[in-house]
Amino acid sequence: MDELLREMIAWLGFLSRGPVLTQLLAVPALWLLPGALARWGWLRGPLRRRPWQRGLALLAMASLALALHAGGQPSALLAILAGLLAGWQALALVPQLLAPHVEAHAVQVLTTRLLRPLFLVVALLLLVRLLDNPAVLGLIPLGTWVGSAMTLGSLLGALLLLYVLIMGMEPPTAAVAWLAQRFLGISDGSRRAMAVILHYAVVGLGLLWILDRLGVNRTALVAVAGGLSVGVGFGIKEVVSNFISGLWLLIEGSVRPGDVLIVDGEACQVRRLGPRAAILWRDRDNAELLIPNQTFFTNATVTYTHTDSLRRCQVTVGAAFRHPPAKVISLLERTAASVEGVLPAPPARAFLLSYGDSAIQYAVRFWIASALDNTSTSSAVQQAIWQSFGDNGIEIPYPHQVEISQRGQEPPGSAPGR
Amino acid sequence: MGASKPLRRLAVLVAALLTGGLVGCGVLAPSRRSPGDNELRGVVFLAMGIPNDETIDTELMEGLKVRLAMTLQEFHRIHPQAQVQLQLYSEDRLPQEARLRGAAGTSPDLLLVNDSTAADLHQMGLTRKVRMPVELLRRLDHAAVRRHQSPTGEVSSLPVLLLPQLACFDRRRLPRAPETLDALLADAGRGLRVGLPLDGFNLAWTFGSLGVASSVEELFAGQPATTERRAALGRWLDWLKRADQVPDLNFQLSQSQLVNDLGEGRLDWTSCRSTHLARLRQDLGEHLGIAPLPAGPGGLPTPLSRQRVLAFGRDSSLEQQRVAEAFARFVVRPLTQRNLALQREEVVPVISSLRLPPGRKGTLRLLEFRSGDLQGEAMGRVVSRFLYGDLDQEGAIDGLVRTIQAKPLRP
Repeated sequence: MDELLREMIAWLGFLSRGPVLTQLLAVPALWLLPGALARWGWLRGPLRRRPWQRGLALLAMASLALALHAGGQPSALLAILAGLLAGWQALALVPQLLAPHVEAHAVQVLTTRLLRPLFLVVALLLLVRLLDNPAVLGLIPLGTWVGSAMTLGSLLGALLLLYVLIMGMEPPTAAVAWLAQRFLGISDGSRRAMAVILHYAVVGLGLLWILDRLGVNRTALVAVAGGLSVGVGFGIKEVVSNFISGLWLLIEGSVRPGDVLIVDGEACQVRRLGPRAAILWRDRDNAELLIPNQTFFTNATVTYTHTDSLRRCQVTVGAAFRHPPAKVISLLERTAASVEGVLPAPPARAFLLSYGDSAIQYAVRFWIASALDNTSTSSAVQQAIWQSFGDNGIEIPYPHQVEISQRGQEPPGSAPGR
Repeated sequence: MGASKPLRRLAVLVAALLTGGLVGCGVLAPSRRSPGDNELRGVVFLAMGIPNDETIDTELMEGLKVRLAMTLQEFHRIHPQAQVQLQLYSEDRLPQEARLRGAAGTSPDLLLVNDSTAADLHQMGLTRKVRMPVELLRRLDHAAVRRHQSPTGEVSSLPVLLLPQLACFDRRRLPRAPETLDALLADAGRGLRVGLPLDGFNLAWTFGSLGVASSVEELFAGQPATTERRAALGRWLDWLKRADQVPDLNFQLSQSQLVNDLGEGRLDWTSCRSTHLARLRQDLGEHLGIAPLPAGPGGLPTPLSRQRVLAFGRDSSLEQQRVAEAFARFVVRPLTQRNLALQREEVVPVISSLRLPPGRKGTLRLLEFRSGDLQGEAMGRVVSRFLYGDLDQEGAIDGLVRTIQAKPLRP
């Protein structure tokens, strides 16, 4: 590392060259200039807006680079820096361009975790190439690790590859899973599980390949892993346990992205099964719950989506004693079946539950396709019942209580003075 | 949109750091050099071209550092405020990289490259002419300097070391290298596997051994193809024909292929360049034999040496130019030349008068034409057609004369 530091300090020697200095100082100066002009009131109209100011600054840099080039002066450094700034600004447009076609979360992951970091790496390499030979800088030794002579290049290359594998392999593995779904007819949940398993497999194999490429001594690696396992047993066992639980859940298929589970009495959808925790989305309040994977492994879990995604819902209602139960039951079944979102098969069924104090209690049970639609569909069914009971002269009675008292005698339980 | 504030802050920070750093480094501040202070200060960047057949790896870097450490340390001892920063590039990529860096104003101050690369760099306008005292240039090998001299006397690069052509052989098959062409053919007749290059540049050593060097030089100098000069070319072609008929002697188009074959045990003797020695040592170890190329009835061989030259970048500041020129003068001073030559047995100093231990320079005689003038490949094609019987001797001589007289002019 000392050697790299020495090389980088030596690059300051380029600052003794006038043209290099001019180009380097021009970039921040021209970048700040439009803002300053706007503050002093020298820019009017749309030029007072930030995006226009940035465009103006880039235009000024490009013009200066062209002028320097025309005058036979070096200008590539300025042109490259301006190009990089323009590229960075253009990256901000990617989410807007992709928004109609790709879901927002995927776009955010793509830009923040892949495109921007890769852009920075490419920019860094490009700038270093103007000062030195990056390939030779990569040969700077960093010492011997696990039996392998490590160089700066091999280490950075390995880290970059690993990063790209982890961040960049998600879309390809998702595409393979999508193809598998098309050809094999697997469910959505299985497709998502397959994508995650494939992703983990690719990252795992990639990691082994990277270690092999680095020349890491396998025997030493096994020995280190053995030693670490003791530490893992005490220190990060929760993390490992969650990771293994997550993998097992995916392989077993008991919890998969897209599944609907009941957590604390609320239906939640599994958004993502991460290496440590599952991310669940709760419809009621749009909350995201992070639940450690091992929770599903050790606790009983209620799911609506293991074999199918149908849910059977129930609505209860009371009808006055004077209405014949058969008529009410038939009306309830017809009413539920007519509501949008209630599946025609299996058919809705109504039951007489009990004879209450003031009404006969009925229940209507119906099936819906998506477990998360329980609340909205139940609400729609109850509204339809109110309407159809009204249309058919069926009374939903208020609670009735008969109070009998004798003259001069207080009802039992009443306190004096009330 | 949210990125604007951080970017603006970054721009302010960069501007402040740059200005502060530059003032701190004395770049923007008035020169602190007092009158009469001739101390050299600053960093110069020395880009070194690595031959294309060598891989730039950690081992090569370590080897280079060891070899150059003494020279760089000695220079630093004399000029403690000056620093020479080494940067390595593959020789074939160097012009492209120098062009890119030149466009940004960050090209190296010095380039230590082969003569042909230096000529390319100069032709592309990436290096400036050498500004050295005439006395210093006079001390150097005349033929070596002349290769880089324009008709107006401007020198495009400064020769630093000569990398001669040698004979390389496998000691397990041949205890002692043949000293004459006849001995070489006789050994090949007895089963010694000999490889010869089929291009004019790498075969030029035989001009001297066969006594035709002066005729070839005269033809290059533009003199007419007299009967005598044609007869000389005929003698050279005769010998090539004779050699071609020896069963275990083979001609190959590529010098690099010959070296590969020697390293992998498919050949026992071949001509080689000193740049190949590192690779051959790796392959053959202690079994690698090195010797002068064979002499002949016409005298000593006349190998065309490759040169390592220093070229000067165009983007250096005045201070960097001073340091670069001081370093160049330092490298071609007799003591440094002697040290460099003794460190690396395969290189020859560029100072003609330098006395080396016996046997080091006796076989070297440079031809008086520039390497760029010799149309090596074109001559090789003529020889090849002659050896395959596609051309008779007269036709081959005509072809050679045409090739020599159509030589390209290089600056």
